[in-house]
Amino acid sequence: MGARRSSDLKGELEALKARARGLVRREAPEVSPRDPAIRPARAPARPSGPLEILAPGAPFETGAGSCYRLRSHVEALRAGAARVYGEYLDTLAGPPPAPEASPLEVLQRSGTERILYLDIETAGLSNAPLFLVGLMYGAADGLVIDQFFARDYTEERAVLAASAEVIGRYPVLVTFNGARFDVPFIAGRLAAAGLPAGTAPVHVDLLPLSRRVLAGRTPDHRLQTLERFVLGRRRIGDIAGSEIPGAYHEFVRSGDACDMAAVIDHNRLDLLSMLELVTVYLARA
Amino acid sequence: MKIPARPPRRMGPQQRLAAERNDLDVARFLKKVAADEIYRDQIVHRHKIPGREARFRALERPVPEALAAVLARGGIEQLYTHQVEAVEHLRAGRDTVIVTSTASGKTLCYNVPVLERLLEDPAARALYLYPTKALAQDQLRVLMRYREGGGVPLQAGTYDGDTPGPLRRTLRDEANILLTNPDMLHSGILPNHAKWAAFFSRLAFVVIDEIHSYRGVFGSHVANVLRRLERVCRHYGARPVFAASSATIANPGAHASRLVGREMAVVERDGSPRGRKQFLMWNPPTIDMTGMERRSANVEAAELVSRLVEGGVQTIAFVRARVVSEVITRYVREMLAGRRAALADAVHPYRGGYLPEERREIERRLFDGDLRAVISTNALELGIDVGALHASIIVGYPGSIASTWQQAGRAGRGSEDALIVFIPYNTPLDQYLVRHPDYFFGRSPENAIIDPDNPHVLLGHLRCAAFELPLGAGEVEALGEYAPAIARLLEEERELNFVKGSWYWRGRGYPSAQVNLRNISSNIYTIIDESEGNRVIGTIDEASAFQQVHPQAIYLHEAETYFVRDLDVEKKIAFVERTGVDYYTQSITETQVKVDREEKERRWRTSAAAFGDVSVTDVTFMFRKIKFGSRDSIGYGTCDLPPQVLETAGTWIVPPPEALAAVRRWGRVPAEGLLGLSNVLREVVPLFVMSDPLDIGTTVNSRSTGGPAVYLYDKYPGGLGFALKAYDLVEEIMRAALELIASCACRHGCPSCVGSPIPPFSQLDPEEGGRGMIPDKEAALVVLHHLLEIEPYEPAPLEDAAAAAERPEGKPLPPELEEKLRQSLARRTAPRRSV
Repeated sequence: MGARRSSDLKGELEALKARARGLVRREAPEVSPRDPAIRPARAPARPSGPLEILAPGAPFETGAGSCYRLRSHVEALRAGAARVYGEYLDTLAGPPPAPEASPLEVLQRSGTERILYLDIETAGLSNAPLFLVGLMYGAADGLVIDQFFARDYTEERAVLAASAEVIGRYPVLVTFNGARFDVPFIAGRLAAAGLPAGTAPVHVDLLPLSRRVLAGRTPDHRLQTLERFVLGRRRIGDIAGSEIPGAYHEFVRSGDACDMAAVIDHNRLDLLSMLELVTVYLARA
Repeated sequence: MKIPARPPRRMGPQQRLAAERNDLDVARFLKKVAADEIYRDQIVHRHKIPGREARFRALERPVPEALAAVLARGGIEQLYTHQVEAVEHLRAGRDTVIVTSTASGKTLCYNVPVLERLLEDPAARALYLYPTKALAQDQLRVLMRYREGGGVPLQAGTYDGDTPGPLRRTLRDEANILLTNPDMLHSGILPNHAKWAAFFSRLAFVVIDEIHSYRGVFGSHVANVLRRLERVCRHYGARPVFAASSATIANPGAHASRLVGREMAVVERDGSPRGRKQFLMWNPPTIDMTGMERRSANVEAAELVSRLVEGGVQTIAFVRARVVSEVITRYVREMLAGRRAALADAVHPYRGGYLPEERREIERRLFDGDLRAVISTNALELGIDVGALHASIIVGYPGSIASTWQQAGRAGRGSEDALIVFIPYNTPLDQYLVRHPDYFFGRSPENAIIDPDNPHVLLGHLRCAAFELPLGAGEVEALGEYAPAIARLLEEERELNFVKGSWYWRGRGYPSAQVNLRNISSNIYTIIDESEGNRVIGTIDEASAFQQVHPQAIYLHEAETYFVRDLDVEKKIAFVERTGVDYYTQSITETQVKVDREEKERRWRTSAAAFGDVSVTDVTFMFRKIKFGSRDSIGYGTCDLPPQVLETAGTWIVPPPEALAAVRRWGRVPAEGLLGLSNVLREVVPLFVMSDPLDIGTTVNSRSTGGPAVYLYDKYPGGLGFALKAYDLVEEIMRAALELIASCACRHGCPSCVGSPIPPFSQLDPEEGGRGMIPDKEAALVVLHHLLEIEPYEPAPLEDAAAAAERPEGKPLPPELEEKLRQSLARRTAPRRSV
């Protein structure tokens, strides 16, 4: 079985490297995510319903109250992605990176068990509640995405506490634009909630890294632009980032989770795209 | 033993010389002046304020050694009784307001407990709030003296709009005393409280200086900012002690408690020494046969200042308008140039609109004794530390008793003698004060009124508060009777969500950016001198720009004349060039009020009362050229400037024609009665609607109503509910107005009743300084009796019976005809526009 896996991996790696050489595609074919499980419902007909039905998860208890947790396996969302990434990364991993190591070196020297991916969704740009923290990490049975969700504003504390606890366990944190947004936002909300500030892991922000690696070969460096030009796919029916704060406030008021299911998918897609970008950048390095 | 109220600075030989000459012998000076032929009979009243010995007390627990050492270096070895009282209150955690005289060492009252705390715990934090940036910067310099010797672990800095970005971060993390203003707290600090989490959680003291300046609508806004500060502190587990200081007002304790939202202990028994003071009322002599014209108050003030300067007396003169500070400085310099040329440079104007560094320089030179006289607007009324001045000349009534004492308090620090001189303009209001000195000296200063629960003010702050932290239902209830309804309204508007007993912000944007604490247009014009390579020489707000730097105006800066070439309204720049001319200009602005939409209308007794949208329009349409010195008018010009319109809410009362006819029957002028009534309303209405007189405008106008109407409007775009409240309370307000006039002991009217309580602060006429006229009291009483349908009032017979007899009664006009005639008159006198 191990042999088969390694030959599969070889093939995948070849394909990956071929893609990495080209890096930026001239044309982005319009592809929806391969797996129907991660294809968001088409707008505008998002079905109405309670959160528990539209986005199944379970209450999650913390020292700072309870929130809602959704757990999914990356392999189930996107076959192959996790395996390629995980095994590739583990073959590269060596001794822990030096403190002054470059972001790519940090990723190359860290096995899957040391890296945590993070992406947050908030109810506004500044001093607004944070309501969803998506965390992706390597587990015994492959890559797992845990999403902590605040069913109303009062559950933000629990979301923060649960996330801070997880973040504290990983030496390397990977985000997209996290240096300017996610990390200070979480710090601000922890401070505002009077919760202890988490430890500061080594942080790899994929936005500046992409800027360097791609060096002007894409029209801009927004995550969805990189999906089109680097990963060769496009999102269909995704909720626009600017609609998210209003959608959350409306969910809190009405209890209808139709848009929340879309936001939760959106957050997973962001995490998956980060994962795939890292795989491409590493294969090229 | 002599205790200076502040640590003295090391003096150079020149300053020492100046200090010696400053030793004022008031009596000798006055004797000399009185002997002078041209000053004969000008001192119309002398009011002596006796001196007072210093009273000291020991603290229960002495101040820590490190702090005592710094104080001793500044010459302070004992504390005055009021300082000890305040320190003991604050040490015990009691919120305290200190109300003692200028230069009594108020800042020490809170600096001692704050610095003590920092010695114990350098991580503790204190927040100092000042009404202006300039004052915060001045007080930072005072605080920094405590760092000398390194004994006190003090990290202080001013945090305001001028603070550069990197320094902001440092201050946030490291300053243990942060000096700022309410505006910055409101829009910069509170909305970003998470970044300040460490600061707030360690906040031990909040100091609010000069709280008498937080009154009316501005004060109501600041009270709400303080409520927001309080809840943010509570959120981070801090319960800071509040220390406030105030100049003399009638209600310091009540005002401080309302402002801060807590019971405040009041410290008002002043233990500082005071020299004897002579408060003179000095009337310029009449110069014509009729006895109506008087020598110019400005020239008179200039003459007096120049003599004081020659006599080595450091002097401050307070004037009402910026242009006057320039004009008088010019006169003083000219007078000195002829006698003691070396001293001419030692006189300087001081006013808003100068660049900050220029102001700092003047303050420093004044402090060092290098400047012998400063001619200032009320910009120096606030507690900027300029050291000991020995004479204060008040040119024209500043508009309130409290302000007058504040300006008088600038003279006489410590136990030395001091001189205060009030020089009135030749206007009824100013002349009234010199003719009735007992009125002035017997009257208590004004109340400061605020209404933090005003729904218009509260609306904005509820949004800000919800943005900062969720608003608990109980919290909202404590914010006034309408607060829950306002919160529900915001919920309907999808700005708040109510979840588990609290309202959460869900709106977009940054709500504090939509609330301006001060009713000042943020349009500031820059004045650029083109003759010296486009150098910025000052700034000016929009309303004043139209009046003072319109094209062809002469702008006065440091007593020099600048010709205004162009006023670019779009770019907000006035282009001027230096020109030596012998005249200055004064513009003429006309104010008109008109009804835009009548919302409510009712019969009030025999009058019509209405409420609705009104516009108040100011048009500056022409200017006069006035020769310096002779004051001759040497020409006119027209201005082509857009009108400035205030769209607001107003209430107006149209009295029935019979009420006016009744006044006429006694040979009196109805318009004067109405004008008197409108002046009284500005005093009375604030008590009913909880505002400051400056928040309300009143006037008489017949343009939209046929007959003359008394208007009352909010001086805020869109209105703040004052006029609306007044509409519902017309009966009560009119009764109070009648009571006020009827019970006033004066014979013909005075500033307490029908006289304008506040001289319209016009920059228009530097000689008159505003038309503080006193209309006919008897006519107002006739009107009011008629309006309130009580027995007709019989006025005293006219003194000038002959004049009355000359006006034949004739047949009264039928009311309809009179109204028609008035309408056609109103059309003809509609505001003139320049071509």
